[in-house]
Amino acid sequence: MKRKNKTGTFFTPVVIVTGLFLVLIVIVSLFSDVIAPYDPLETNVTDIYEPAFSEGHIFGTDGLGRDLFSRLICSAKTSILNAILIVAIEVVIGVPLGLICGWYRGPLDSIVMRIWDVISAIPPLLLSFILIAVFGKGMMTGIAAIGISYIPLTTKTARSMIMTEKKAVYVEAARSMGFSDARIIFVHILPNIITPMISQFTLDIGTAITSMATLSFLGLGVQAPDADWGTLLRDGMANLYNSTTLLFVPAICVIAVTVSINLFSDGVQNYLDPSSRKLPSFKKYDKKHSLKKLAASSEEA
Amino acid sequence: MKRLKFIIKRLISMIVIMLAVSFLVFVLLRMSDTDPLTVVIGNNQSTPELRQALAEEYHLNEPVHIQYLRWLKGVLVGDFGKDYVDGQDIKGLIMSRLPITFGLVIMSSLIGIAVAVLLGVTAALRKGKPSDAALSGIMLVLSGAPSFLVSILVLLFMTKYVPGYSFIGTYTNFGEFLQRITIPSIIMSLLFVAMLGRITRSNMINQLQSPYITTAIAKGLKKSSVTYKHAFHNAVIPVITVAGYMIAGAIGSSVIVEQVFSLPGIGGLLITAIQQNNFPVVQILVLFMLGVYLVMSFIVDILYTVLDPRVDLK
Repeated sequence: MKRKNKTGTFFTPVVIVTGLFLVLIVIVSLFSDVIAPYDPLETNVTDIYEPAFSEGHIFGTDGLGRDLFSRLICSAKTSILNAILIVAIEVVIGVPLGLICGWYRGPLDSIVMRIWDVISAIPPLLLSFILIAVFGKGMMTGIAAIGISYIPLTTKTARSMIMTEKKAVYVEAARSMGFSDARIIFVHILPNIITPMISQFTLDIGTAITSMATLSFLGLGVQAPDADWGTLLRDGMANLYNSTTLLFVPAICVIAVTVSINLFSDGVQNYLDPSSRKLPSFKKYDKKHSLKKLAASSEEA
Repeated sequence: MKRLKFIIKRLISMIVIMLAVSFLVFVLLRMSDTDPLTVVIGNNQSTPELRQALAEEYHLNEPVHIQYLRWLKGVLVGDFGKDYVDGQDIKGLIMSRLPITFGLVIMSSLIGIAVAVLLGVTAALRKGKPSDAALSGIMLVLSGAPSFLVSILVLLFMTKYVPGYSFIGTYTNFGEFLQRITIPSIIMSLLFVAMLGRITRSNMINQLQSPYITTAIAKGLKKSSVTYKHAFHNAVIPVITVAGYMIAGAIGSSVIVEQVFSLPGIGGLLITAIQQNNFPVVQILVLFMLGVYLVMSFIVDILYTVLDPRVDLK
């Protein structure tokens, strides 16, 4: 179900609302140290399991008296940073590898593709479990594990795109001018094929947040005293019978952010994909000269 | 003949993948920072005699490739060895936890496929009407909802508003077993509904617009016969393949639901084993889950060619 971007502008209402929300989240997480009313690790035995909207604690406190609001915005930084790192791994390794494989083909291409076939034969979650089992649990292993499971698809996309682009006239022109392969691949071709992939990368940030939260929730990702949203969910789960807010607030938070990212990247996709966009100039022209009326009148006549 | 060649090729590649993954996991686990002997000793007083005895009992002094071959030989004859933490027989451990995982996978896929096909066909038949928009919208939202967050929200709701219904933890009889897995299965089936429902809808719309449907209507066939005998048969083939892959993948995603609802399935076993550095359990479970996934996708590929003779094997 593809919604059409009829106006041709990037700033549709959905994009504006979700974009502002995401910018707000990023700003809050960047300045979390300043904004947080309490130290997220500061324990206070006298007010544990304070309910939400109690005095001084908007979202209440957990079993150690730590302020949930402070913990939420400080872990937002970890969560978002991790997601960006995961996508960075995907982009930095996947895209150049795909470009090189698609450009040169040959034995390197078949070896890499065979390995990626094996990796994509394993479901992503199971792959992360395998990698974590082997390299030990922890934040960095988690990031690497999820990043690796995203690489094959990116490589394949970049590879198939450069293979069609290779035959373009401008590539031939650049070649005849004696440019090096590296220059042709990264200066001339890359800008042409990266645009369609951008919406995929924004979408991947959303899935990366959830995947990382899943790992942390299972206790295999971010380890205490560091916290991300998955850790908060894990803590909330353990204290379910003492306070439901501890589970409810982070869950809603993750859902809001991932849904926003999905809708936002949908907007990006619609804007970047010309086939799903109507040309605005023609519409204006149509209105101005009222071609439809002309056509109608000529039909009548 | 062609099919036989394809089957043999796929079987060989499956065996190679499983051997390679099992070997890598085995060797890399042994190369990690954790010494298996410390895991085996656990909280016992570590004396040289005990170390010697345990190392011999678990064959930890041998070179890694000998250990691997010994382990592989055991796996092939169905002896998975003893686990490092409690010294229990791993086979029994896994067998006692299989019902929950398979129950979850089977039940969720049955519910999910039935509901998805029903909703997809309904939406396709009402294409463009508000009810279609509503159904498609619901499926779009569901496809974006991560299953572990949905499980958490459902769990919150259940604990607060349905206090009498116990759905967490172990079970003693079949009735309780069903009670435990019903709600998690419904949550897992949401993903099936979201993915398969949308595929069913678009396939069904495509088929209903094709020329042979016009012919069927022109012949004067009943509408129900056109929809369900002609269009549905063709529309459902891709759905079956995707469903097969999803069932195979559900073994992995059941881990999350099992953890949230504290169900004693193999997912929980794997997580605990990873956290306790219980190497033999990790090895066998990784191999097992991978094997189930590969076999399932193999069956799906074969089934696809049987259902749709136009598909070429390669």
